[in-house]
Amino acid sequence: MKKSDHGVTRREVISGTVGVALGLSLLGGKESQAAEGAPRLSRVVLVRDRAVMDDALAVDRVALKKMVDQAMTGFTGEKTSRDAWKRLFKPADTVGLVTTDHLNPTHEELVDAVRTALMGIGVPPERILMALRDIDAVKACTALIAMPALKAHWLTGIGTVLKNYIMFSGKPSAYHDEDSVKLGEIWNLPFVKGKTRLVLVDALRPLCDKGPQPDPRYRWPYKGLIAGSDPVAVDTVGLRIIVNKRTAMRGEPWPLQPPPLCVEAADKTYGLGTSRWEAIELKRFGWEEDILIA
Amino acid sequence: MNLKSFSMALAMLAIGGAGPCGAGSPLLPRTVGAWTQTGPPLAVDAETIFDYMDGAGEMYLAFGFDRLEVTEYKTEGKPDRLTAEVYFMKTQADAFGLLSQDWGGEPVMLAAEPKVPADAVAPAVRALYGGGLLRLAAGNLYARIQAERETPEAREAVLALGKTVAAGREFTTEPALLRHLPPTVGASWKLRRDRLAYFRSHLVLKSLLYLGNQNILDLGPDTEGGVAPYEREAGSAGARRFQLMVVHYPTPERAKRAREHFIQAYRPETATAPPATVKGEGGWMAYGLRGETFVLAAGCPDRETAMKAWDAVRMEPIPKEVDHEKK
Repeated sequence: MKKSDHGVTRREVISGTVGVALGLSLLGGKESQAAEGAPRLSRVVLVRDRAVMDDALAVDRVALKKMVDQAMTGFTGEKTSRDAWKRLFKPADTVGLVTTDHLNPTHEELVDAVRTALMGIGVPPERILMALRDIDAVKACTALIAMPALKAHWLTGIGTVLKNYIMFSGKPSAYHDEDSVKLGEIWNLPFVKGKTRLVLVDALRPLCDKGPQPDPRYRWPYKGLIAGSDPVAVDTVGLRIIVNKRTAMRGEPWPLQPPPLCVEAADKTYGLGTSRWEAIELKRFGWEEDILIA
Repeated sequence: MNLKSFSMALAMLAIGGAGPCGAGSPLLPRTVGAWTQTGPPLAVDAETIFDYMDGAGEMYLAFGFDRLEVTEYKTEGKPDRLTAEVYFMKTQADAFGLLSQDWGGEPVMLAAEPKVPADAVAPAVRALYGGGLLRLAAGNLYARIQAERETPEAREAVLALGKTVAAGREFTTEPALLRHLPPTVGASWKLRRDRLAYFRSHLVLKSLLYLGNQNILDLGPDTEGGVAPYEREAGSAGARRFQLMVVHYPTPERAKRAREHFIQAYRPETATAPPATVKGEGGWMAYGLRGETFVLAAGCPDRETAMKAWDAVRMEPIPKEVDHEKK
């Protein structure tokens, strides 16, 4: 079907034909599993700990480290966290940490925990770079860790993993105009492609509406971390948490507007991973109360 | 915004050329309760707003943003800070529009009780508080004043700053366009005033009523729109809610072009005399032009409701928008 000159409309969203409207082949995409028989599952780990944050929102670094350790072993299958980090990163790597640095920032304690873990396996501190706003640093990196905070976004529906690299485009505003449906292409830029070895989402206190400008009414202490290597799968899990929280808040469905088209597009156009729930292997650890995921 | 974020924003703005306001900026007091200003307010304009709030700046630019002043307060011995963002908008309608994106929170009275017109459509509140955040509209100002951590003392200080912002300013009037939206449709549908919103830009409309990812209604700084849900009692057969939207264009030609654009993008098979009614995904829709105003009822349970919504739109003349006297 001919790609619409008018992009995606409400009609396509409600009828589920977004991909057609965008000229996307439903069978295309490098990682599409639709035509390949049994799907290869993308593993995503969700770890929560009630004790990681107190009522004053102070983070317990010991509890957080345990969560990071659990996320790493749960994701890699290694017996120890050190082995898990060694499996993903080498001492010779230059590792870029791509965090959310303002409005709803990644907790410093989480950044510190990751930095400490990397140094613990021999990555020198001078080769652990804060890479969010420094394209030259990204180019110098051999590996990236995407570490966004979990949040809804008024322009894109969800503004977490896939949006994390928007600054690497050099023209972030250009992506906002069409619901950021093309965010996935940034992940395929030559100096970015293939470098992301870990996605570690800060879901300690997510934001479920009106992002990125934080409104405390829509933040809640979920006390979680979400980890994986498939950015689309990780965003899909985060999206479900946000949507279910919104439903719980209003007592009825409260869909994100605009719809998070970037997630499906990242799967079906850009081949970055899977947005299909049945193709995600979700492993859960820790605190189950109000987990918001069945 | 926490300490780290503010410091980073200050650094980025210094690099970009914007920076502190001149000494003695009189808008906010130097001290409030146990809090004291950390320095002169930060001045942010349309060029530097992305440095200050990347990803959120478009919301303010989507209304008539003029400039922003950001003032931070600290208190001795504690990490808790207050941040006051005062947005100077070009018109009262723009300040109202920002507040109208969310009517949730505790209504608070910051000034003398205003005389609200009897035919006002929107809630008669202009200040809302929740979780340590105060949002308010006063004259052509919109403000967000937030405590990093909510305590009784912080709440008091936040409200005191809000009163200072609002002092001497007009009660922000609701845009005349909103009078197009009827309080009821038929016998059973009622306007949800607390979900009514005013907008100009397609970026904002997308977050209220998603019609598409492009600007298929040709919205811009000189257009204005209102959208609200209408609901009926639970237990009714069929959908409980539909949306009614009106968009006013400055000329009949602009309105006609917008209608054509919408039809091409959205329902090319239904280009009929107004209102066009069509059953589609999500329910029945009625749409078309009434003078220079595009009207759309979407998500209706049946054609009859869509037609009733169309007929119920009140087509009072809309005064040409002027810049209200800034106070």
